[in-house]
Amino acid sequence: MARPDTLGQFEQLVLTAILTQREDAYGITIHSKVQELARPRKVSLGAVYVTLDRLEDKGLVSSWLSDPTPERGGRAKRCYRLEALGERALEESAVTAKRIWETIAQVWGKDWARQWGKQWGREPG
Amino acid sequence: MRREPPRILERIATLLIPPACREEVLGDLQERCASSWGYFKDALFAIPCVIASRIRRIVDPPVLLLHAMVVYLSFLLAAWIADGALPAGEGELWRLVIPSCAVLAGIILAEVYAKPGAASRFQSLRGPLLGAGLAFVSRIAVPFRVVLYGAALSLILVSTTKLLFPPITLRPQGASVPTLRLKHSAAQPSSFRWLVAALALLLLLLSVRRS
Repeated sequence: MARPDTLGQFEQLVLTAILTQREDAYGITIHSKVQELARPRKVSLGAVYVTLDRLEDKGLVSSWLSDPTPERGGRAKRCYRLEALGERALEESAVTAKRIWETIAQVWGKDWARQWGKQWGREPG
Repeated sequence: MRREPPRILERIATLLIPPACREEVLGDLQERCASSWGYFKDALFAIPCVIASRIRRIVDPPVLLLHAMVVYLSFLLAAWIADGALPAGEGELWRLVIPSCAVLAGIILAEVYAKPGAASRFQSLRGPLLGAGLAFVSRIAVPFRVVLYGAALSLILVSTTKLLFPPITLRPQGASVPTLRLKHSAAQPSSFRWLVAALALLLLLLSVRRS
C-alpha cells in the first residue's frame, strides 16, 4: 500500500470534517465543520473546494454526485468519503499531534497542561 | 432564512464556474444563500478558487512548457516572415511574449471550460483557436501582420502537439484511480517524447536566432 503524503493543517481539518459528516459530507457541511474546527479563524468556501480537489487528486478522498434536491435549485451535491489512504493519513496526523501535545506538556509542566485543558474545556461550541 | 439567489448574479456565476464543477458549486452557493449580498460575497471568494483549482488539475506542466515554446517560436517565425529579418533588439523579442501569453491563456481557458465527457473531433482545435483569437488583442504591442501569421502558425503547431499530447481530460481514465496518479502515470511514457520535442524546438530556436 502506498504511503500517504504528509498532510497540511488545513487538509487535516477537511479530512476530519469528512470523517465526522460521514454520508452527508458535501461542500456546505464540510465547510461549516471546518469553520467550527478552525475557530476563531475564518474559512472561505473556496479554500475548502481547493483542498477537496487536492485531497481527491492524492487519492485520500473520493467523490460522487448525489441526486438533485429542490433546496439547491434542482442541483446535485458532490459528496465525499474518506478512502483507506485518507484514513491512514489522518490517523498518522492525529498520532503526531498527540506526540507534540505530550512533549509540550512534558516541557512546560503539568500545571500548564491542566490549565490549558480547563481553558479548552470551557471553549464554547 | 434561505432565499433565492438574484437571477443576474446566478447567471454570471454559471458563466464563470467551469462546467466540470458547475453543478455542485452553484448548488452549494444557492443552499448557503441568505441574502443577495451574502451570495455575491460567497461567489466572489469561491469562484476564483474553483477556477484556480481546475487549472491546477488540468494543466500538465511539461506539456504547457512545450506549448509555450511552440507558440513563442511561431511568433518569432511570424516576425521573420513579416519583416524579412528576425527581430534583433531585446525589446522586440520581449514584445513577442505578449501575444504568446495571450495564446497560452486561450489554450488553458479552453481546457478549463471544456464540457466533461463531451469530447469531439475538434476539441484539440478549440484551445489554439481561442488562443489565436486572444492574440489579436495584443496587436497594439506587435504589428498586425506578425499577430496574424503568428496566430495562424501557432494554431497549426499547437493543434499538432495537442494530437501528440492530448489534454488530461481526454486521456483514458480509470473509474477509481486518483487524478494526480493518472496525471503522473500518463506523463511517464510521454516524458521522453516531450523532452525530445522540447530540446528539438530549443535547438531550432537557437539556430534560427544565430542565422
